[in-house]
Amino acid sequence: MKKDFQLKLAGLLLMTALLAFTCGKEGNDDGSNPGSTDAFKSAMLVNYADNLIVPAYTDLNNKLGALNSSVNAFLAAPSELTLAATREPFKAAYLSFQGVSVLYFGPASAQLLNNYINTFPTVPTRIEKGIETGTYNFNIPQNSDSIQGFPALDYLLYAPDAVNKFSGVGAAKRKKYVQDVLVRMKTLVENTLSQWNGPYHHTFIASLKTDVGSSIGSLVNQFAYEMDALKGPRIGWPFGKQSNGIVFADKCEGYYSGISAELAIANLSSLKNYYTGANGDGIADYLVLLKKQDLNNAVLAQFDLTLAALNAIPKPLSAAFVNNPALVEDAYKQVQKLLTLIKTDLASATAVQITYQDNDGD
Amino acid sequence: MKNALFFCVLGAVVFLSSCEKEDEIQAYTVPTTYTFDNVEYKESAARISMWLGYTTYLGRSIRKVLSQDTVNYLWNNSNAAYTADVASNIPYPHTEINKLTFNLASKSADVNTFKAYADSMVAVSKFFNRPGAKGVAGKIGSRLFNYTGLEFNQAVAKGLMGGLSLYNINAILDKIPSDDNTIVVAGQGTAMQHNWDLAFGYVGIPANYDTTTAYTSAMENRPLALGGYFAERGKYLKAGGLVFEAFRKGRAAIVAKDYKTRDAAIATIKEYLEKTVAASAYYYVTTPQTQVALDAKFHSLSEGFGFILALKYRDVSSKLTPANYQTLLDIIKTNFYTLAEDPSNTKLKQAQTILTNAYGKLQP
Repeated sequence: MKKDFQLKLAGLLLMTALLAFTCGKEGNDDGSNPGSTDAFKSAMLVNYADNLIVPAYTDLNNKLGALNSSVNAFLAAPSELTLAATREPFKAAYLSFQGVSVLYFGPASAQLLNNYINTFPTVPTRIEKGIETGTYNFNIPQNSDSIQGFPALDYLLYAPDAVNKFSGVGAAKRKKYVQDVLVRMKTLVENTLSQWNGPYHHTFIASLKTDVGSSIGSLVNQFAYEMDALKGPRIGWPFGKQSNGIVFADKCEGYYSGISAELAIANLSSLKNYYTGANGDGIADYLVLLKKQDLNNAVLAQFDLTLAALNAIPKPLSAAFVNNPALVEDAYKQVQKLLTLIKTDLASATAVQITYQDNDGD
Repeated sequence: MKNALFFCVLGAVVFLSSCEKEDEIQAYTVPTTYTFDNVEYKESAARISMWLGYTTYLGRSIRKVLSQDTVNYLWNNSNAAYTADVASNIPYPHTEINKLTFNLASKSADVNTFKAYADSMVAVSKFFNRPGAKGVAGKIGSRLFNYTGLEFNQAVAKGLMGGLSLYNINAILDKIPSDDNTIVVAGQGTAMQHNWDLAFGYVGIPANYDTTTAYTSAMENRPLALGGYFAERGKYLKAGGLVFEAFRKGRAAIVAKDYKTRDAAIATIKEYLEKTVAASAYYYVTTPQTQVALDAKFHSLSEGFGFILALKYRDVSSKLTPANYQTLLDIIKTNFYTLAEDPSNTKLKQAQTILTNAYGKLQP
């Protein structure tokens, strides 16, 4: 998803980056803010690391452990009952991933975590071919067609005749594939978590500037990136925003399990949580410190409007694309508004340059 | 020998003092475009067009296996190798280039190095159809990387901005003060004027360059190569306007024999061309720190690789020390997958610091 996504938005992104550039100049030229805000920023980053980020990865790690157990129980004795027992753990783990999705910098970026475990849509034909031949390489970065991670499990575990497919002769290869997918997901998340518990923790909390590569810069960039993902691959594209209104429901995140809407809502709720800093100081409080109270109010209000609009869509999302297009359209518009607030207004207020796109023409 | 030298020195002194006695330089104006009598710089400007054709062909590796013969012919400008596909809508299109007797190979610094990078792109192009990964050459997204994540065509394209442009411009400007400025050759002016014009041609900007114009690739007379990076990465430094002004001022000063102004222009040109390369290198060791998609990240790093190669051709008076330059090279020659696996971007941050310490603030 990511590559197409970036290319198609490149023009808009470039403009935004330039805008952020220009606006940033009225603030602090070197990306460092006056010393007086350093203590605040330091405490804020500690709050992010210790109260939000590490707990989020720990939760995902635990949920993946539970998912792994339930899936292994199913693989050991495939039945409707054991399959049903994987449903909740799958959903819990996938929802938990939404709580770390925005953290795609530092350790996650170094592991290419998001790329490997949640590039969607998945490509059933390639997965089936991999199972058939026993030849697949999970170390190749995905661009648009995924054969691993949550999207692969979504396809494999929610197939209409899953119990049959995992039973009897010939199911061994399919079982191995699922186990390989899970082992890889666990390894990537464990590595990411251990880096956050290792030296990167210090790197993150000691980075008090807002320039490219700084902690605040990374957070704001990823806020915008997640909003772009919500507007594009999570809702807009399957809804037909890039295909003249022709719906591609099967391109949804979590299409087979039918939890696309829940995932989108979890993603946005988590994003709001990161924006506010939950019970501690976050970017929201940083804006107040910078005397941008009005912007902060506008962002918070838009978060709520957008969440309400997403909640108003009947589930599953894939059906709502066709049956309730007006509600989806409204949510899409709210997402766009929030995206603009974050990507231009918030970025410029914090003197952060949006850099995640490939804006190069050559 | 000794006597000859003595007379040279004596001559220079006499000349200088006679200048001082005359005490004034005729008033002259500096035109807003690079328009003077007897201006001619086809050789250098055409090499910039060749640069575009050559590097465009190397870029075709994303969709086909490159021909080693073609790469050789383009480099040597033989066998009518330039085609409409790679060299159109530029000051010297393929039809013109193919008629010329000069080439890139004869005027680029470190020819063997740059040729080897280009040849490596040919070798890697065999894998344009398979996915790349750590230790495996191939495609990631729409880009083609070697087994360490490097795009060789970027090493060539950006590296030659130093090895072709910066190198030749600095060499010419170093020689300018000793060039003859009295014997006018019709159409070319004096040796000093002609060489100055040749230096201008290596910058890659049009004679009517305008920093406020939003140039597009549809425009035939657009900034190319290093000149294209004034707007792309040298904006914060305002390098494009400064370099263009210095070239016009210096050329007018040469006509008026105002050597003080000429020498000031030489200093400005050298400083800001080098800083443009440095600012580009800075940008491409900075941006990848927040890029997560490997194709975007490695593309940036590949550009950084090329621009750091280009910094080799900085002026002798450069504030970037040889030791620090070597550190930059070591950093950017690290396997890009290894760089990507460091969540703290320690090495890239070190590169940023080296560049900022040497040149001051390079980007907003």
